[in-house]
Amino acid sequence: MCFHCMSLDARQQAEFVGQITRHQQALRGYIISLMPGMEGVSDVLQEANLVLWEKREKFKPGTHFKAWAFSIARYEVKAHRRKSLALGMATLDEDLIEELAERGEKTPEEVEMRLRSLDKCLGKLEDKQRQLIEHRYYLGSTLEEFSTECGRPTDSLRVTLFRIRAALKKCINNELVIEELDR
Amino acid sequence: MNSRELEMLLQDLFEGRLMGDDLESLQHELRTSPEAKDAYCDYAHLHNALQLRNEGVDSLNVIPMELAIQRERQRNFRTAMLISAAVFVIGLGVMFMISTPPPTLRFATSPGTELSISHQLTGEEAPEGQVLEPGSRIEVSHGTVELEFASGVRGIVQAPASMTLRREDLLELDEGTAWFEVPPSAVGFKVSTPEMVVTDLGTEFGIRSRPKAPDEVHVFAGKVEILHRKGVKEQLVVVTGQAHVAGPVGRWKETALRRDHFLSELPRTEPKPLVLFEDSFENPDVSGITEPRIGRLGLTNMKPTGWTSDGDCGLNANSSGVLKTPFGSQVMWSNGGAIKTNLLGFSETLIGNGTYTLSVNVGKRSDHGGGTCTLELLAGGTVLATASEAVANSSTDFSQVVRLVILPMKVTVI
Repeated sequence: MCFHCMSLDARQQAEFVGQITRHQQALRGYIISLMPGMEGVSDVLQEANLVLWEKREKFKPGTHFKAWAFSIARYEVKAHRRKSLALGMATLDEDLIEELAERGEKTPEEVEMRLRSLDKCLGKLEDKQRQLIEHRYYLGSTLEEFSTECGRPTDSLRVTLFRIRAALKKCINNELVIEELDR
Repeated sequence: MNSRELEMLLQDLFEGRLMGDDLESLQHELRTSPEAKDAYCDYAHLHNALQLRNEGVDSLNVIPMELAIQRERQRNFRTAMLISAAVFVIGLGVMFMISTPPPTLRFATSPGTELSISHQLTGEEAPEGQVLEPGSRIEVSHGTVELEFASGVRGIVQAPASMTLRREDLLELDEGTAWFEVPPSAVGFKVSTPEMVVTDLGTEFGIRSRPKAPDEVHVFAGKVEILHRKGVKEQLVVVTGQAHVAGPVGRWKETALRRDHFLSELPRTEPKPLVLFEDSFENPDVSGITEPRIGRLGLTNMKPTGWTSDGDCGLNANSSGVLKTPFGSQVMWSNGGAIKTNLLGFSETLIGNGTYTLSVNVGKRSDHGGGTCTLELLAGGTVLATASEAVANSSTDFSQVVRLVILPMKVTVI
């Protein structure tokens, strides 16, 4: 067994970590689209990162890192999905989800652009709208929990959240167009 | 299905509350409608972006090295078991080479730096050399320290400073003046101070945290996100050319950008100490006067300017041949009385927790008996610090120094 020929030198390791880091946001987005509504996105992402690291010697520099990383992530989601389904979780069929995830794949640059746009759009929300987004995403509370806290019915919050998302989606698309024009 | 119904179902799907007929209905729509597929993708992207804006990308912990090492060890152990079996069969020795990961943080110091380090890890796992691992704490009382994180983050921290490395992407700076340069691969690097948390968004920035002054952040390139830790906990994104200071009730106030407060390179030489007070007793000129005195003999016209005495003291010129000094041409002498001066004149330049040295060059007439020099720093009638030393018989050239180091010195500027 040859241990030396299996290991990357320090520069190669740094480059490899740089690749993983650069793709984190896109990889996370891909994982989310593969497991809508399921818990454990961060765990799957971490597991995928660890597997990428463990298989680092198998990656050939110059080849398509994103495709390779996404295929490993897809495999990790499958394992996670099996466990969730065994616990009674209902979700979309696997082939459909994979088709949708593939359709929505984004490069790190595209994800970064969307995040910049989102920052601008979040600034345009009214205080009450931002509060709901903060509770749902920043504090991780469910609509039911927020309903108890603010005294508004869950269904009403559900509709409000829908409207906020619609506004954000529209705003982001506008910003993306502007950014494209400014380039 | 109209777009509103579709969006509501997608929302429920991503909230994990879609089931039964609604799930089937959405599934059918997604299989048959390209617009529905695009709506799904848009929804997933927005969901991801909103979560990322909350959690951020933990760039420095993308690969949790503790876990990676643990898993690698488990694999090595399994490999070792297999190889041991082979050795048993064919009788060969095998030597392993196990690579160790680089330390989380290395540091270097400028000449004259004084610091102390403590580590959370103990025994064989304790870091060796100029290395910090999560849990390590470093206190810099004097000088400058350069931090080099494995992630590529570089920092220059000036004393007085104390900090703890919490994680590879989180430095807790209790006190200090620090400059950081963060490469794109390490975006998300955080520095927390008693009043704020600074999250890098790809940039070069400086932080000042002092016990009696509000914390400051100065952005020289790129942008950072700052979160006030107190009051209303205002959060801001600060961009190139801006500086903010932590205000009361948890809000931020804009302030002038000050690059001159920060160092971006480690000084190569020890900074020259700032001399706050110096006197070589040249006034008044007593050359040609035989044994001029102050104090007991009451020759007040010979009193060294700015000094008082309650004993038998005076000035002596090199020309007298009794005592010689390389500093100027006169010395002050004492036959036992205390010689005093008031240092209030430079109190405005004192810095809290700074290191101050009070020293005096002493000598003794070779034809006189032993003596002891005692140096005291007083605030009113209270002795803050003291040093005492017997003066050597051979020190007629004033090469002996009695030094009083005051560290740290709590100074209240009124």
